[in-house]
Amino acid sequence: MIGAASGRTGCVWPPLEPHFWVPEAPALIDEQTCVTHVALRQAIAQAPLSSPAKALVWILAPNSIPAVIGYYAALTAGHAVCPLDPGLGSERLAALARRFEPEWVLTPAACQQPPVPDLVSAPSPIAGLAVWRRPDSLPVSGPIHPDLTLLLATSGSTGNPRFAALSAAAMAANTQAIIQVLGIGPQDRALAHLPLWYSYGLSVLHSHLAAGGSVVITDRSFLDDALWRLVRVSSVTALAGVPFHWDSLLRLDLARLAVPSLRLFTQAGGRLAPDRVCRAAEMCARQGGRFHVMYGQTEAGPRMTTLPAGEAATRPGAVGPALPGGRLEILTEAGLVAEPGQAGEVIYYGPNVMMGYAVDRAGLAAGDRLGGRLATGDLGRLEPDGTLILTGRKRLFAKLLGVRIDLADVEAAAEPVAPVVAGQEGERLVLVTTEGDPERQRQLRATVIAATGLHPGAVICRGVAAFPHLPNGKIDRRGLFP
Amino acid sequence: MSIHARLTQVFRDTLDLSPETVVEGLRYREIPAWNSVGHMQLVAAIEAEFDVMLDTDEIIAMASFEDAERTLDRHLIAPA
Repeated sequence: MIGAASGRTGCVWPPLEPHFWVPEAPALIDEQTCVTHVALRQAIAQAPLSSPAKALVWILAPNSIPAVIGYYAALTAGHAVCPLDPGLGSERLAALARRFEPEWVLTPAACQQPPVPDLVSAPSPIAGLAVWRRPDSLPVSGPIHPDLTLLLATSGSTGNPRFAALSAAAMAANTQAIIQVLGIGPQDRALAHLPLWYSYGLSVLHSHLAAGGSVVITDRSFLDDALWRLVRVSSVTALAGVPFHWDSLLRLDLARLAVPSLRLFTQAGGRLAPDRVCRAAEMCARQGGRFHVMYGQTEAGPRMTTLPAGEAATRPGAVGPALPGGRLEILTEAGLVAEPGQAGEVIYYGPNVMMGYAVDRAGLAAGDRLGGRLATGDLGRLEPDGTLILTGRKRLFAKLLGVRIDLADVEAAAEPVAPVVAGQEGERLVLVTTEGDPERQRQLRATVIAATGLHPGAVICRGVAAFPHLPNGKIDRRGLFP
Repeated sequence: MSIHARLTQVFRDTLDLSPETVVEGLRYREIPAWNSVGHMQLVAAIEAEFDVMLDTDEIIAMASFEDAERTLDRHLIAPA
């Protein structure tokens, strides 16, 4: 096995229960089938995906049992694996393929055409998946670093090809820390409804399988009654959600959904307003469940903090202390380590920090450049007990539905139509423009919707007579987005 | 305006549909705009337009334009 980590402190990679306590217990469940831990290991072993050198494997499929088996098979073979949103569209995928040169791409079996140009069909060892290979006549331009196991997109669907390069040791450490801090065990069963190309979705899968628990895999929407039937009949115990899911759950009401088996609830993927955190915590407590607010970034594999259950209702804005093995520090604008209570940029130190970013094939050969230190770009302060309170962002990102969107990308996309200052208000991306013509404003919205892949209802345009400016001449963003 | 026409307009506005799109027969997740986000926006828009409050069961079972229309009929003919 190439690049696998195991042994010490029970960390394992790929994340499968290491002691084999529960061979006949369910691992993967969907609406038709149930795959036990032993069957999962057999399915992985029967899908060797071997090649002479370490390869880049794309997983390009909606959430399904075959997709998870393909993902684990690629990790087990020691390749670098990159789950990607199959909804990215052929042009963006082709552009990413030119940059990163994937040797293998796994798609649903129903996919008849190569998902990106030049790939050839290969025999599939996994039922339900089609396997595509880069032909030997097209050699790749460079090797892949032995430590690299996972490549995850950092900016959702803006087409920005920046990926977090994560090592097996980082992923193993983060998985283990999540299991420990959330107390996940063989009795736990999570709903895997978050996509596998999203770091939070992957972490739910990893932590439950590595703890000997199970996941119920679905591609169904959160607002589909069949999803809630599935939660009921398969007695799901753990539910993860980004702010949109929690907003929806508060509207739907857990009690009315009648899902009493749920007892472990987590929220990450962006800021949920403090009053909603309180209401969510109370709603979960009413059915005897625990509610954890968490904080992370894909760059940290992704988890950095978890707020102990019971504190959500009493400490609004808090995201908890660093995970076991991690440490938080606040840097003031002057670059000094802040005192407790003093605000500044959140710096995270831990074994789960990525090796660095990769923007192309050459980047896959690079080793660790960060040394376990991540400057998050988020602003916050530490309480005396080590609990982090987040207060804002240093970099200009919007986070809509858990997907991070670089506002500079949005503004650049809009620029040819009209000058725009982009910002976030609630779950909406707001384009403030000096363009007053409704037709041009409509064009602006359409351009940004196309560039970001955001829902049309999540993008609004607002006209202003002029952009306010700060004394230093820069546009006063706070004046536009207080 | 009839309920049908008002509901059609709510769908068009919320899901950003072109005037020529036929909403009759439209199903949840059939078009990119009617995803889970669009669904919650649709629920909010229907509630605002018709001054009703949809039940949990109605929200998660509303899988087509016709489902929405039936749900609305139930609310609007029920005694106040």
